[in-house]
Amino acid sequence: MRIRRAGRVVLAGAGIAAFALLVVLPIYWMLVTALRPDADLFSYPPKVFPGALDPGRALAAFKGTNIVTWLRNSFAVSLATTLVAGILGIPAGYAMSRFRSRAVRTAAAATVITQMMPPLLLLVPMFLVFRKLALLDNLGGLVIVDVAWVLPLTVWMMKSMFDASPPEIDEAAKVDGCGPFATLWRVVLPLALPGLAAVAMYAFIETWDEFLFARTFITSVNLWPASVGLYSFEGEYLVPEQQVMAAAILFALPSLVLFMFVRKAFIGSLSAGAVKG
Amino acid sequence: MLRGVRSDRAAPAVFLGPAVCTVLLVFLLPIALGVWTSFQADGSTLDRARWVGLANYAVLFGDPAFAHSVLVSVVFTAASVAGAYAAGLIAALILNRPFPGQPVLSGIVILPWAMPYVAAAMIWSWLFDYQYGLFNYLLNVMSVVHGKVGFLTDPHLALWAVVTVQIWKIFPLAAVLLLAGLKTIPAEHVDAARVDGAGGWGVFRHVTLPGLRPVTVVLVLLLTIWVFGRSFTVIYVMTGGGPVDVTLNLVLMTFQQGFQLFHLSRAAALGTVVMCISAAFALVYLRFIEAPAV
Repeated sequence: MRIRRAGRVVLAGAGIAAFALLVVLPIYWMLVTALRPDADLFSYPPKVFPGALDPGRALAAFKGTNIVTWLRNSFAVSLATTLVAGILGIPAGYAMSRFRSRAVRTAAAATVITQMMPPLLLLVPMFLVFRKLALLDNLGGLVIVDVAWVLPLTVWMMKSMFDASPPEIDEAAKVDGCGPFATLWRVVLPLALPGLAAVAMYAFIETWDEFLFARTFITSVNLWPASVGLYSFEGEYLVPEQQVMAAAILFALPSLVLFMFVRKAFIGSLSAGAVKG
Repeated sequence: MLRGVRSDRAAPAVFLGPAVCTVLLVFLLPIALGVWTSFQADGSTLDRARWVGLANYAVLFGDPAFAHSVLVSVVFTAASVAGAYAAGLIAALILNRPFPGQPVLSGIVILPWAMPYVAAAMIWSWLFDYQYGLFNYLLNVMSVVHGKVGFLTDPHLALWAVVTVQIWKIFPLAAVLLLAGLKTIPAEHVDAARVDGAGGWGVFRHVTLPGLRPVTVVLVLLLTIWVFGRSFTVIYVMTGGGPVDVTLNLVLMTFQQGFQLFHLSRAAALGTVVMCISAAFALVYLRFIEAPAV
């Protein structure tokens, strides 16, 4: 009996380990590839456990590629998009959380539906408009479509953040003589700030990762965001694979770091609807 | 809450106004413009439009490539959603019980979700590489295959290769939601089933799965909407829609028609079709979540 039990524990452990391995394998391979010496890169069989590690090639990505410029473009676009979405989204999310008029409820329902629509729908019309307004190949234009794409989700997540802060605070502020603007700005906002910051970070990550619009609207190499820049390495063999993987790591790092903060906010706003449903 | 505030009737309008106007201007109006474009001849501009009625749709529905693309979208979506659900369920069942290393594993499971799409697609391309890829090597070592496999170049395999990557990317979402669902199943129900003599499998079938039903409905709808309408990056980076269009889903076909072949109006018609299908799913979804207003 005890032996059978031990056997089952070992088996379960092995299964769990195999599952975890499958999940992390690509990330492990990215790191290992970035750090390979040239001699090992194209060796076959590939060295699953690398003997020697040489960060030289990977570090050369800073100088050998445009990745720094591209990351800067990504940062500028993501930051601008996040700021605009935040400034528009905070009062809208608050209104949806606290007011119950028919117009507000309609706006809330429209937000949910809009958020379900694929970004693909904006591709052709925005191209026509941008061509007319000379906003093609322009990072400002990219910010406009990115705002269009993240704003509905941002508003909705902000709403769920405000839902989490008790309405009694609003009542207290009102009793103290605050109008609705002062209530939001001076009383509710400071309390809800951690959640709102997480939502803003999520908007940042979504924009950082955005590829379809950037690929379609931005054609100049020096204006590319990092998602498009990284893609340009695919299928060409001029840039060493270590540098490609190093660039991929640099590109992934902000997402991975911010995601740790965002996780709870995102899961909260999602599972609130899903689990109760 | 603030219902009684008489002097502040304007507040909701002021709070909501900027966001609503922005969404109207840069989201809903463009979508309407896209639908309008789909009724114009190719080569039309905003100033010079030529109305052709349903001609773009007629071309589309008569094109076998469109039917094929619909099929690719359906297979890609169904396989990705099913795979993500299965992988997510396994992860959730593992994580639902405490064991040494459980916090580490829950951190690991989230990683693919946080990885940007382009970066993920680049890494997987390298893993699938014909010449130097790790997978070719591992499969040979395990004697699953002999010789090299063109995961991304073989028309029979390419779709399954990109499905694998899509599953890897989105299963964490399924895992997280299913885990939340598992926590809502009362322990008494499990105990009662055990008292009635149910084994591990019996508990899973008669208590766990039914308990997960509400989450499952919402999760599957959500994943379907996302994968169907948004799957571009993984496929575009890894195969570009090839080989011989086996991975050309509707999203890629729209991009290809509009921005590689410059049939902008036909692309607009394709976009409109995608929108109608997405809207249908979205309406079903709205009926299931805690509906905000409808």
